[in-house]
Amino acid sequence: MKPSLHRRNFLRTSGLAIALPALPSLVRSSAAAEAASVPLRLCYLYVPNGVNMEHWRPSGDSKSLTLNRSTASLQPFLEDIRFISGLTHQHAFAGNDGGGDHARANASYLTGARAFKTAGADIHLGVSADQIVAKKYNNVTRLRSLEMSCDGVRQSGGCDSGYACAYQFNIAWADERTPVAPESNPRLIFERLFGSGSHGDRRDNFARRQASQLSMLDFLKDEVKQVHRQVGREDKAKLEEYFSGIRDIESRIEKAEQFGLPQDPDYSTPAGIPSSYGEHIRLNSDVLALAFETDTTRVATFMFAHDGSNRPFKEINVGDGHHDLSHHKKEPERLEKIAKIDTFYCEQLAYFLSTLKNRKDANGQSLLDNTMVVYGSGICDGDRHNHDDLPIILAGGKAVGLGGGILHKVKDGTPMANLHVDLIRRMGVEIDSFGDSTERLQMI
Amino acid sequence: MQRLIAAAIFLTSMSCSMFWSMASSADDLSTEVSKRFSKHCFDCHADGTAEGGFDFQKLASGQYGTDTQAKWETVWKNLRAQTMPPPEAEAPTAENRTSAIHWIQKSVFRLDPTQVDPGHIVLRRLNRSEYKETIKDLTDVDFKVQEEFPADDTGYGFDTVGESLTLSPVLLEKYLAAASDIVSKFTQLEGPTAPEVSYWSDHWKIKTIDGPPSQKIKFDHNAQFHLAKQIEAAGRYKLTVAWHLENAGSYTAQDAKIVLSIVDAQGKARELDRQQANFNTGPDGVLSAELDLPSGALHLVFDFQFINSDTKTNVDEPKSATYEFSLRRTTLIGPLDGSKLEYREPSRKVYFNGPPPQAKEPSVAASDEYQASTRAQMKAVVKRFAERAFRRPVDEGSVDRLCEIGMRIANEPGKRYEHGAAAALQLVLASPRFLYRVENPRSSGSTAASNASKDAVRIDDYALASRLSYFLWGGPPDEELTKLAASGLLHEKISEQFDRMTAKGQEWRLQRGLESFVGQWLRTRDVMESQVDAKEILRIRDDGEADRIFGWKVRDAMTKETLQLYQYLLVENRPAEELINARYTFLNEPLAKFYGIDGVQGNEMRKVDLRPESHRRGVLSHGSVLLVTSNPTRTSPVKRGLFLLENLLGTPAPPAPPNVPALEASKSGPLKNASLRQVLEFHRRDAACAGCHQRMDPLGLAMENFNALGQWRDLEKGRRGFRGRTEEPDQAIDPSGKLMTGESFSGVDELAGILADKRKDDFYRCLTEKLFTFALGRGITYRDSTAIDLVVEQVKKDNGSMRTLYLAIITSVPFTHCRKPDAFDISP
Repeated sequence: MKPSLHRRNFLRTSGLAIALPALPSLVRSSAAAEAASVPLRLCYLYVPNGVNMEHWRPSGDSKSLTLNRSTASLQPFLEDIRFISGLTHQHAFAGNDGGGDHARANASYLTGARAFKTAGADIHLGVSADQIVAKKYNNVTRLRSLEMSCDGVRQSGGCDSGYACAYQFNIAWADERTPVAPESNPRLIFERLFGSGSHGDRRDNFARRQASQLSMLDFLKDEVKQVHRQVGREDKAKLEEYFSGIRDIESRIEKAEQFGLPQDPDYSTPAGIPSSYGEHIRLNSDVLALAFETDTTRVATFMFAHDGSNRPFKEINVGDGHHDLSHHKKEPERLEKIAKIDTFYCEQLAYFLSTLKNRKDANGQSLLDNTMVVYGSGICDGDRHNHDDLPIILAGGKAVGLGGGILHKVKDGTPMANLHVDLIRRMGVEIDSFGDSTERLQMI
Repeated sequence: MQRLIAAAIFLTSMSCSMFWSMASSADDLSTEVSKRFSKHCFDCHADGTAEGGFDFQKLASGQYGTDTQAKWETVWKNLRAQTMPPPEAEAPTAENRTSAIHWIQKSVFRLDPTQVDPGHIVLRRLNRSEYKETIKDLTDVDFKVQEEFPADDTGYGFDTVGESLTLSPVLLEKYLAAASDIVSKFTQLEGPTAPEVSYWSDHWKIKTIDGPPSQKIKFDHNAQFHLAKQIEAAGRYKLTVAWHLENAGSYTAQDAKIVLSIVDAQGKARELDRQQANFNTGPDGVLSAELDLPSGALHLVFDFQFINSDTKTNVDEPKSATYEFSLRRTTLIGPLDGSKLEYREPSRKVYFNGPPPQAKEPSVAASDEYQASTRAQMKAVVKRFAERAFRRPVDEGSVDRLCEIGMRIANEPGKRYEHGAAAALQLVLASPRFLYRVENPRSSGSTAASNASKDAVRIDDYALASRLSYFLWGGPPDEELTKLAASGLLHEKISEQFDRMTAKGQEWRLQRGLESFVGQWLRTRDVMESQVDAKEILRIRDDGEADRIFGWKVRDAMTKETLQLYQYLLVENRPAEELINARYTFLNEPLAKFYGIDGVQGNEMRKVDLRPESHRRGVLSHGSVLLVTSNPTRTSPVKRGLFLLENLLGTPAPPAPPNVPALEASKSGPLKNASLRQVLEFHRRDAACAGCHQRMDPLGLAMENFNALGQWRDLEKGRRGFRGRTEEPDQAIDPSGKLMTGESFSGVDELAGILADKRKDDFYRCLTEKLFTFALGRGITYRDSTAIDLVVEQVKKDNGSMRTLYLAIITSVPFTHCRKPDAFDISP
């Protein structure tokens, strides 16, 4: 009972009354075990429908890297990036499951697991790499992880070939059955991180919101217990989602004691979802960089779009839908348009890398040096729907010895999960295997 | 792992009903299978020839193991959809086919039409639109769910499926935040204020106090309006009269003087306020006064005197415009001395019993008596709110706990009654009892339907009220449904309630519910957001022109066209198949113009009869369907065909085999200038593709006379040469074809006729399945086929009647029953 009272007092005094003096950097307030080392972040970006490899694939070897046309915008970061070629997702291939390559590509990207084919009941996949790491940092940062996308509007009706939509719209999975839904509205993401309102008011608003949440928890716990007694076994399992939400909020409030109020970045709150797609990606990227810079979280996933996305790209004069185009049948005009889209997406990556690189981290290094960014797709060629030889870029991570400027060729058929194992271990989680991994990827 | 265990439990619990584990021997089954299927099926599916990896003899002898059930379901589905045997093989007679279907249902699936299983519905969370409507109904607050909540995951094509409606920690956080935002919007935290009454402009009468209601005035004559009301309590009042000027954005010389006066008991007028109304004052203004009023009659006069009526003389605006002056809301606040305090709208809706009496002294406020009476007042508010929010009675204990929290906060320093009540109401909106649709079985003693299985029990009347209202209205039950539920008579009066819920006066609610169902079934929800390149489709160069031709007004009307046709069929009790073959539709001027149909004026949607030369008939020719089944720059016969198979005929093609690209994409090499039809035909030579594309393509190709935006075309226009791209020739369109079930047609009009006639039973079944999925919020399995058969039989008997269809669904066992609590709970 005592800790709980303590919690309340804490919020009452720190919350509404007077904002605490700004901490020089929240990094320092991290748990003691972490304090010695520089915080390292992990971030996965997803682009849909594969790429036009002809213009995407770089040349180079373990010592050099020459960019191709579609990825030319990454030139300023040449020394920060490595291309990894040869990675595979065997569980995205059809196997005995028939059509649905987009749902599977999306689902297996971070899980290395096979999606159980169902249109709704008994969804089953696997925990995702980011969430394994998130569990470790649960008590280290304010948010265990951040999930973002740019798919604000969804098509009605069913999703890919008999797969539940959950597989196609989520890459982060807390466990086999629970997707961690991404948020697409940059305003809402920002407010969740730093509080609502304008610069100067946010910490008060944040504290007020948290105090309001805290005041509700005890009653809601009783409520859910009461409903729990009323319903049958299967529904009890459903209510577990509510329970765990309550626990999550509770633990976040407990953490507030440890971390104080969030920083209040001098950045105006995004107004909402911009009409331009590129602007939307860049705005979300800004918020993501802020989340890392303020050490609000160390783990994030960001889907530029879900696999199978049929979005047209008016801003680069490609009116056709991306998915439609990706079935190019080697038609030059379509291939050219795909290359344009690939270029567009790479430019967004370049923007994100530049925001990381331009920020200084606690130890004086750039934020990019302390962040490992994986960018890629779960499909290689949209026309063949193949899930081997995936287009994957690994950026940043100099602080943990990841050098750039190279093309890292791995043996064909190497599970992408091997890469996940390596990154998970670099993040300090001691695992030997993950998903369909065979071993830890040997970095060069 | 959990799933595997669940599957294992499922299989164990099922096995007792399975044929192959029954006492009767596998030999009997083999004999029966060979008797029924050898003639038409064994050529391809027996004696070692296992086309598509399927062999009847292996099935009969149990060699498919745990896949046995799935294999039987495939056989059963193919028989029903007449997709097997293939057209080139000899077809069984209709009687043999039906008999085989029934044999599988009865002897293999062990389904008994007198023992209908209600199935299990997983606890459903309110989806975004249900949440929005429930909040609006409860509080009048219009909460922007689209902005604040993430999109719901759908299952089986609908956002009502319990298993797919997950609740992530982030979403729970949003629900908590929403609860406090919503409550703060309708609670007057500053406390009650002086009484306030408002009158809309029709309370003002022309010329005398009993003249006709006030109207808009042009600046070419004078006018006088009178308002007569009774004042109950004498005192000081604040009076405001709002006015509005239309077209005031045009800078003309029109000018008028407006004067507000009061006439006393002796008939003497006294001016209260005056203003000018012209371009400079802008479109809105308020006349106001603070004055002492005696009790009794109040007589106000409003004078409008034009000064300049010139609509043309202006400085730099070339267009002439006629200003139109009109009165808006008149508000009277008082008496202002605090002798009487009230809540305003919308606070009043929830705080129906008003503010608690004011305690002048702290000692009075602290007295037991005062505390008890305030608490009783709060309790009444909380109880009523919670019962409406939870859609069922609430136990005293819960209400007491809420009031305890509320009173504690109300008594904190600096806090008021309203703070306390708001805290309690906020908890109600964050409760799982609000966010989830908790359903209880009816109390013991209630008899189940005669055709319900022995494991079935009726759901309680409150659960039924919610099922009805969310299904038909997309929102919470109204007072009448709740009252009936309280009296325990809803099951018995369901048919009268259906009539009431779909009758005049409820159109807006019905519209809301249909938007949810039709919006997802026929995907009209996607019309507004569908990303198309109108410029490219229309083969024009100018973005502005493309927007003029295909703007939001056209999209909006397209959405409404389909929704209104469906609503019309239901309300007017038309045959369901008219959705496909109606020779009428619903249009307004923008959409009619877009379709090239003359004689429709104005923005109002109305029923329009279609002439044959319009080429339009039923949903196959609705812009909504044609648009959402197209790619951003061109039509997609495959998507359109698949759409019809899935949503009208209920025989979805199995997904394309992996690694086969979408067919129509491949227009390269020798097929460079081939028509889409030729490309598709080329691909159908591949046996792997033929099976399904034979079913999809003719349907989609028949609709090729409609472009990707839904406009009629006789030719498919080729793209012009551009930056080195060679010009493409125009292509003739051949919409003729033949269905896999044998019927030929010359184009989309005839296809619609055939689907609505020869294939209407398929359509009835498909629509029934979609409605069941949406209404129950779960996937439909083979176990539901007896319930579905029953509905389809009734609809057939009543010649497709939409009302029969709905009534049969809402009185069916799955809709009105649930499994007995823990009937299937065999967890260790």
